[in-house]
Amino acid sequence: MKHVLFILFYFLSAFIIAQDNYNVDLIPAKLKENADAVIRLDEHVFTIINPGKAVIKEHLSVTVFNERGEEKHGVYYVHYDKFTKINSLEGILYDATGKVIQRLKKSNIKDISKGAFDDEISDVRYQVASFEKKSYPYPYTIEFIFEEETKNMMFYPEWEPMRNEHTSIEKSTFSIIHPPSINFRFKEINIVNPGIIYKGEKEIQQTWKLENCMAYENENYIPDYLHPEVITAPIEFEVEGYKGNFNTWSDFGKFYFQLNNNRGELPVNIKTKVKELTGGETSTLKKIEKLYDYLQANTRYISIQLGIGGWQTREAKEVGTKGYGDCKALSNYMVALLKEAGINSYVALIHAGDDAPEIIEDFPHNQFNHVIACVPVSNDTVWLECTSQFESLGYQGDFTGNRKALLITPEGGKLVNTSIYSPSDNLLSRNAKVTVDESGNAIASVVTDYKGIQQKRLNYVMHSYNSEKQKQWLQKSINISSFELKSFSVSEKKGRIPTITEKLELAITRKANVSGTRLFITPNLIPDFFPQPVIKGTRKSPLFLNPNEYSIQDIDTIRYQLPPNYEIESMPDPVKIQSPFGEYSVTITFANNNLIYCRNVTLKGGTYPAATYPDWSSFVKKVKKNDNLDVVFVKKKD
Amino acid sequence: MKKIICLIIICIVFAGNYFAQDRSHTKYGVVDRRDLEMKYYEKDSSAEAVVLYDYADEYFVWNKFENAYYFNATHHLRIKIFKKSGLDHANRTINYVNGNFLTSEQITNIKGCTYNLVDGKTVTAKLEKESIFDEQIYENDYQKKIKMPDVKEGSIFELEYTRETPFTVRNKPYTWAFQSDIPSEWSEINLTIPDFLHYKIIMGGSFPLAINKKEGATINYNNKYTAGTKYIFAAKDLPAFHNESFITTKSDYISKVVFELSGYQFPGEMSKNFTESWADMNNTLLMSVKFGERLKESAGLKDIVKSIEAITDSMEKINAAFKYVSTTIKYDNSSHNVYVFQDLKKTIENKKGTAAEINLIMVNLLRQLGFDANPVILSTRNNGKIKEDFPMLSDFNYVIAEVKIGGKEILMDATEPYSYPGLLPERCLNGNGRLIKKNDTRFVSLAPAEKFSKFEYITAEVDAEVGEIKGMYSITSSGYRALEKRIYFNSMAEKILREKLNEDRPDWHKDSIKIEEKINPQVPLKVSYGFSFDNNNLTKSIVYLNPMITGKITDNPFKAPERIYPVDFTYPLEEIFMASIKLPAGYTVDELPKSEMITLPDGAGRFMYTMDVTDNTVRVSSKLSIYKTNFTPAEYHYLTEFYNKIIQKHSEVIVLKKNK
Repeated sequence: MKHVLFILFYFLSAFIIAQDNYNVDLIPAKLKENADAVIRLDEHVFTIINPGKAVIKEHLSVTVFNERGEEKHGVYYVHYDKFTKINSLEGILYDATGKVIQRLKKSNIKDISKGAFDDEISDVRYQVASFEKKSYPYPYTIEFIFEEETKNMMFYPEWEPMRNEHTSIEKSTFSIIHPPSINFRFKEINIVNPGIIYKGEKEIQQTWKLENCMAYENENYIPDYLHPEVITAPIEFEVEGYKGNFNTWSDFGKFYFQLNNNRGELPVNIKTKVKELTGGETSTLKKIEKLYDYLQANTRYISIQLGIGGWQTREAKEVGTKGYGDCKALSNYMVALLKEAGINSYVALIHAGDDAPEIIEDFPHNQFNHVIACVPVSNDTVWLECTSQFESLGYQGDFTGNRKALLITPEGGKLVNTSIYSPSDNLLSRNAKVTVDESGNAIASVVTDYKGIQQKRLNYVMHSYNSEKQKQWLQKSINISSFELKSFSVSEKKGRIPTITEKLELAITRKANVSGTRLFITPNLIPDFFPQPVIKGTRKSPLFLNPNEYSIQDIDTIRYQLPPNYEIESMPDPVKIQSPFGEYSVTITFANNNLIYCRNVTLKGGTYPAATYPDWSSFVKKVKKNDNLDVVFVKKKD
Repeated sequence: MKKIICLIIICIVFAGNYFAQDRSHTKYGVVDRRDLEMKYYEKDSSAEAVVLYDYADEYFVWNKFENAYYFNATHHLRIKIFKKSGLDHANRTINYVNGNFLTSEQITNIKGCTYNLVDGKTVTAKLEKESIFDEQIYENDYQKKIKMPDVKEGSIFELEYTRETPFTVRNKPYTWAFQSDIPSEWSEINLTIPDFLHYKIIMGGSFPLAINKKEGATINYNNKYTAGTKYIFAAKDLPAFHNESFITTKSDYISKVVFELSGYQFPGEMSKNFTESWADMNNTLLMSVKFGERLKESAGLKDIVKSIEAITDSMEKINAAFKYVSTTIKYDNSSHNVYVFQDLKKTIENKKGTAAEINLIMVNLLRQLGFDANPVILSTRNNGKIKEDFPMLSDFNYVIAEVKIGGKEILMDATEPYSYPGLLPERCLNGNGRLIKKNDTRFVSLAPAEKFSKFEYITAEVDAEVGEIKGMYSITSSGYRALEKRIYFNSMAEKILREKLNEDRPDWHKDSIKIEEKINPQVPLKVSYGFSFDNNNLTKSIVYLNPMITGKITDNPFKAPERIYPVDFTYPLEEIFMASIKLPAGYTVDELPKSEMITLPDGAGRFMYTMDVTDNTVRVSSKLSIYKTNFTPAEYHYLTEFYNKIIQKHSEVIVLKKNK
């Protein structure tokens, strides 16, 4: 009976929606500055009913001023799966005076599967609501009211009210309502006004509020976590009969382990295969290599997001017979292969991608989107990307390198560092011989070694394109204004840091500009540097040079053989530029008709104070300028 | 003698097998060992995979239980994987429609196998039910996602299924593409249809067919046998299709066969013709509730007619009408169709509509203003070329408006508020459109009436003491460039636009940026500002100065040595740069780039560079014009050479020496 009352209470509260006035004139003037839209009200309520069930309510009202605001806020997405049930989704459109113009009809809501646009197998679907069949004069206000029940209690909501640029906020609130017996954890980031607690008899409510926030515009090169955010997580939860808690990383790992334990049984033929492959090997590393090769040669990646939040792996047996799986299943399978060979290894959860946000270490909750395998080998750790058929053994690159991962052990989870890469790990070294004739045309042999993140693009091209398409790609991507690609080859040297060697034979049309008696050469053969950072106003955010993009080193050594009877008229002076972001140097020498150009640039990724931004801009400017300087030759007068 | 013949026969058989296998008789479950052993595809050694066999047997069926007609198609596909990057070909997706009775297709009899050579033995993995995922995508659109098992480098897999399509879902066979992004050894479609259904069959692409024949057939229709025809089309050894820049759309280039129902005569019934001729198509459209009938609507336009009637000049009237429609009704580009599915009154109320809706409203408005206005149907560039010899309504997906004034014919597209009568947006520039008009249907050329035009002008002076060049810069866009820029400029707030313009040349210091005519499409769009930038070279005893301060072409868009497809520029091009640069005092000109003119054959294009110094001021002008919009692959190398010469000219510098 108590329970019924409890539920009734929630149903009643769902109907009590304050009738707000959405007249546009009521918006404070400063909120209209640089705003494509104003969020009049953005209300999130997460009500915990029991450890296995919650109700989510959202109430969003946005006034849009133009097409950009409409594009950003005009469509409302709700996703659902077998753990969630949508109770209601309503919408109203108001004109500038706040008068109701239109109510959301069934036909305004599209129901689309998540896997509609790719190969992904998923039970997640979207309801997509919008008023876009008509066009309305700006400004107008749209309101969406949404409620759903969830039984996936592993994840509690996050509140990030300022995630949209060019959007100001009149009022945004975030509340968690829970019975006194079920508490929750939270972390506030950049929050000025901490959450306020209201204690009722049967429930406790904690609410965060943000009011009258002006629209902002993102700066370039910014780190994560610049805006206010509240992250919440369960203390104890239930999902599909599994109980768990995420209070510590150890507990987090335990739950994942429990969910995925005993799914490593291999088919008999695969067991035999493992024996066959590793039986003759004595070195652990060699065994790992054999098995990783086997995995890469016999499986492929397919995204399958079914079941408990996409968290429970398909069994190793299935991967073994079908030859495919997603990241969880392939990593689980790899661990099973290694186990069969007597090698202990773990799966690890990670946030993959070259722009993944840093893991918030002091607040254990789900921050991961990918699974890899990890093999401790005496003093070494070998990380295995199990979804790639090409990756070098142990190489993580910008996909999973330079960050934290959660190792899943039977004893629990452990947050550990993945491989850290230095600029010299990402080295591009180029050696070229260029023979220039009287007309300025040149023949060039260019040999370039690309390492680490610098080999990534070429690695893809090498493995995925046929030779015709490779040639097309090179033709487009080599930054020389006009040339013919006489021949080329690309080869890969796998390793903990893979290297790709590219050999090019080029016939360059007018490498040197002949102008009367003079010959102009830009000795930097294939210029390629980062774009010039633009300075607008005073920099507010810290400068973030993503190590996954900026920690690099380039060494160019280019030799030019000139036609006879030319002497130097003018030559750039040697340069050496030092800065906190890196170093740049160029030396040019000329002797016996041979010009030797040496260029060395090293950049260090990282986060730098906002005040250093102009220095970064001027560093890039200097590099680019020096990269484009000419050497001028003049014909000798006999 | 016998022995010799025997030997010859053996030789022939052997040689035949050795050089090329006959794929045309591929049977499910029978895999040639040599295919499994094949390490790479001979004709494209770096191909990631090859279609060994792609076959459909499609036939007309009368279903007596449902009393309905079906097209049933049995598909059989076999693919060999060579490289790991080709593994994705083993993920197959079959789209189908699943609605109510007679609006549902059935995908049945799915079976598949993967074959691998393991230790010299063929190992077969069967496709199991768990590897077939059925998904409702959106409303009646469904997908079967099939993940072939045990696929790795060297695998061959095959897949068979039947698609049953009721006539009510689709009254014609699906388009058959012989070519895809991997090479294909054999691709064949067999089609058996009763003679009372009349189809047009149109071939696309440039490769000849290996089989192109038809033969008589009998078909069970309503428990009686009726005469039919079996068509067999097959293509052999087709290369992979790769996209290139400067082309319209993939479907214009790949090899395929397209079917269109042109009419039928069911036994004992009256015959019915759809679009047999252009005249028929014209009538069909004019009579349709979804087209011609809508041209009789006048609702919702009274007020605007009244206000425009006050204008006296005819052209101004047209402009005003265009401005009204294009700025009050927003373009909804989510679906393309020549037909409209609601009253135009509703579109006017909603203030949002498709191209057909908006331009039929445009026609109606012009007619009410007393003009001779009519719709023109066309196929957009993304939709591919129409076939002028085969009137097929399904080729068309877009409607624009035409008006006759003083013997002149003007085309317009009111979906684009930054265009104007006479300037069609790029998507419309695709050969010919068809004028839909009683007793006067004909092709009208959609050729661009304007250029893509850019004019840059600089007055500057060189300050050798500070090492700086400063002056005034302006860039004026007209025609298609103005349209493109206006769409871009108006897509963002003014403040952000200024920031973006400021980012254009980050090493320049700029005075306040002036933007003129951001909105009015009929006049050129101009951006101008004062500038200065450092040049340390200037302080030296020898100064090298490139007079092409902006507008320099540095990269040849036609670097590739060969070209398979024609080059399509879309519109004529004009790029002009002019500068007048005052040289520093105390320096003498040592070398000067020479004036030069370069032309493309047959007047297809011209580049003119002139250079002149008087009174210590350099006057340079560079004018690039490309008049012709289509170049054949044979003409391609002229473009390469033409651009090379321009790049060379644009890189030449003026050498100044300090006076002693």
